[in-house]
Amino acid sequence: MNTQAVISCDNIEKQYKNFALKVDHLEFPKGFATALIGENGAGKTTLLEIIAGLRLEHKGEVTYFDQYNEEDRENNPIVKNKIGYTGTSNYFLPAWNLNQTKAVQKLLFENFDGDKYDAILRDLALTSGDAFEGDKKVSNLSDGNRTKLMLAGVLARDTELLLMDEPASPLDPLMRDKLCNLIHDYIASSEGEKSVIFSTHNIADMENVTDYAIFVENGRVVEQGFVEELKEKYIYVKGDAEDEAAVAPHLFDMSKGKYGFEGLVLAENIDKLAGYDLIRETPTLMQLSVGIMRANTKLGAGIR
Amino acid sequence: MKNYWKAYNTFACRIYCLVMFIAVPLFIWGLHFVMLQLISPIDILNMALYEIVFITFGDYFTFNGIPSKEYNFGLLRCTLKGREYIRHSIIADEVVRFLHIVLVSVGCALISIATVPCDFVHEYLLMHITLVFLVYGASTFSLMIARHVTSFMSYLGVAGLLNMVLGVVIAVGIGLFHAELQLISLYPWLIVGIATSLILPVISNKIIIKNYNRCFMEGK
Repeated sequence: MNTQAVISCDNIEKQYKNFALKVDHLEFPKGFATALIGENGAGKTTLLEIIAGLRLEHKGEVTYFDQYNEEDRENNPIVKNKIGYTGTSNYFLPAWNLNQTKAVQKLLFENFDGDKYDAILRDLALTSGDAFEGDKKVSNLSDGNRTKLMLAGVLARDTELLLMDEPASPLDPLMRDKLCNLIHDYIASSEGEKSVIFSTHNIADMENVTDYAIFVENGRVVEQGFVEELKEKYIYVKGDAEDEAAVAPHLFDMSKGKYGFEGLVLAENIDKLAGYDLIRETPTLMQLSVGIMRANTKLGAGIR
Repeated sequence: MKNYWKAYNTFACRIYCLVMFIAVPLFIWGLHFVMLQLISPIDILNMALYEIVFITFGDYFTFNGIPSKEYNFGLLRCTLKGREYIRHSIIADEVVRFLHIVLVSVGCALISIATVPCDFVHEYLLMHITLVFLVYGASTFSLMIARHVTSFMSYLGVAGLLNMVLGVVIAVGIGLFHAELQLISLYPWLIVGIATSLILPVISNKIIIKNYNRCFMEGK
């Protein structure tokens, strides 16, 4: 699929003591929801923070909206105003209360709509219109409610790109469903102009809203593509234990059970499995993710 | 100017403002009135020390941690206005703190004049002015250090120790050597007070902005 890029990363390198992020070229499609998927410590947050401009020390270049570079981002308020970022913690100062979060965002973002913020807070059941509830401290909110507060903040602004680091993790299942709807509505509110990039470990919950997936492992992008294309690129197969040894060399990834095996196979290799008694399925994003992550992980097979 | 006040208000909540701008001055004025019956207008020295203590401990609930490496500026990093917002808040805090000290000192002076007009000699006026600057300089110095300490108990210890040392310096310097023993002039103290009041807030501001810039460069 030919698409424009909302964000392009070229030759990004970020070195830590025991970890290095290295991205040669990466494009996030405009007008879609892109999921960054990977293990803990794979580099998802680092990549998101580099894009958001929260980590300035790195090599390489990020291009925004096909026209701005990082220097523009630091000098031209338009770039950051177009981006809404939600992190995993300490986004609002703990001492702030709900009224103050609104006041701060009004001060900081010209495109912040206070009435919309209040409406979203009510919609997310963070407020109900009671007196003095605006005095509720951020530090007294649960992790899930703090995430809702962040979401309300970015959704109350007129942005073109949402960068969200693990938005689903602290949320309950109902709210995760709501989050998917919010992302869907956000993208649908413009004609292909608005995009969302989020990292997640809650792949099954977020599958409905994920258009494009980027898999990051050990600081490298190991696979990417539109989910529908990836589902054509890989096939999920299940077989009996007796075929395991013969089939294994042709599989991209395999997990073994007591009675058989299952795993991903590249569609281009499926002919090599002809003759075996296998069940073929279209993989879910979760199955794709586990397979791709396992094929690239440094995790051991387990100590038995 | 409006933005300075708005930015300050996002750090200083309503309760803090009520306590610092109404309860604390009333408490100090009330105490000064009572103490005037027992000692001369030199009691303003005690009130100056109380003022430093209230300012320092009150600050824990507003800007505590802001110059420390662990302080997470969160949302502020997502906009180019973050740096300006921090600067506005800090400048507003410095101005408000100075005005607070002036307000308390003027109130104490008026109480002294009204209560013991004969004792309130011309020199006490100079002492009040000197103390305004000294208290401001001392509290700024105290906050420059204490704001790095984020644990409440440690903060109490560090801020308490700083206040004690600064209090002793001011009380002994002005109270003993000048008012009681008449050994030194107040003017050098006034110059020291004005100098610290001008220099320390600028340094404090620079430290905080430097910390804000540092938060984009992790590990430094």
